[in-house]
Amino acid sequence: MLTRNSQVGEFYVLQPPQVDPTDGDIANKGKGKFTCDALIYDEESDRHVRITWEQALKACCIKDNEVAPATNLSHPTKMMMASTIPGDQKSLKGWKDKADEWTAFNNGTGDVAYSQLDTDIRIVIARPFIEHLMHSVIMAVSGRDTGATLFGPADMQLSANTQVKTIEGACCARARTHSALHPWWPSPPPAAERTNRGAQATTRATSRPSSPSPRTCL
Amino acid sequence: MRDIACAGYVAGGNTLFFADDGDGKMSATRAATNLMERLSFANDVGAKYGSMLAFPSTAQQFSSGYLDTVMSVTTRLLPWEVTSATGGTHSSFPGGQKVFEEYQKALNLRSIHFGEDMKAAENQDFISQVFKNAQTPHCGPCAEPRLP
Repeated sequence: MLTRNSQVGEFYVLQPPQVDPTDGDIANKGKGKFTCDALIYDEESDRHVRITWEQALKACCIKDNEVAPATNLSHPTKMMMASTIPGDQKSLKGWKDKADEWTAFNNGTGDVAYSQLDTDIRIVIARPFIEHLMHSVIMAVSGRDTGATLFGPADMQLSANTQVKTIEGACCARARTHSALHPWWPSPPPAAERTNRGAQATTRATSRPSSPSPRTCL
Repeated sequence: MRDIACAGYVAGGNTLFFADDGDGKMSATRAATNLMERLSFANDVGAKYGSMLAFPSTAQQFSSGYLDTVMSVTTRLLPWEVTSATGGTHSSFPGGQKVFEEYQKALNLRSIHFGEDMKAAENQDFISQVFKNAQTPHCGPCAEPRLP
């Protein structure tokens, strides 16, 4: 079987709690701990690993000389747009300020009440190059779905050539394959044209009991 | 530890950020370096490489429909992103086109497809000649296999 390296990719979305875990009381900020984290499966160590909001935010690399904080987002949040700080409405800086507040909340140290936090902030974690050695298979139909192959008439002749002391043979056979497959219909075909219906009668005697297709068992 | 990984596992399935320099400090420069080391197996196939990237996004982008189940992390666009007259934009990328441009510069994302045989890919000589790096992470954890 053909084996080759293949990659798959996946992404996860970190989001802050959409329901207030502190019950509206800033004194309960300890209840907000770990509420923004995610557990992601680590295949190399065969366990789930906690990815904290703070880690993910740092991995976004939003700072000067890296990913410019002045860059504008295509879809800023409502709370970002309501900001009165010039340039913060759409920028990554405005987004990061909101995300930093969640970092403190997630660490149980925040002084901002839940109602003042921006619950629309998200962090996308992408794992794009998960690579395995994978097998490839070729799938095909089987049984009568492949069509019927008819042989004949076959002819075989042998003759002796005494001059060169050899025996010569000639064989002739004809084969014709009738495919019952139709390429594709934009809508269900008429009953008479359906595979194994109408002209192509299939009986219990000619059907293949081991065939997985129920159509061959009339 | 790889002895207990899935049979045939090669790399890319751990939980290390590309941006991590090993001490918990994150930088885009380190991410770009680690990314290329991973894709070229610069430190042997069995070495420890990073696997993850992080991007800023908002609930509004998800609800808008631009980023729902699949995104492109390279310069190549998704099929439905190339239909505009201007050539298309990275609408599916977290943060949108301008944010993509920033990350493209910072992480050198265009280099992901360096070394690929484009002609072989176009001729569909997939089996014998082509190895493509992934570009389209799907919404996890049920990653969907992608044609090579």
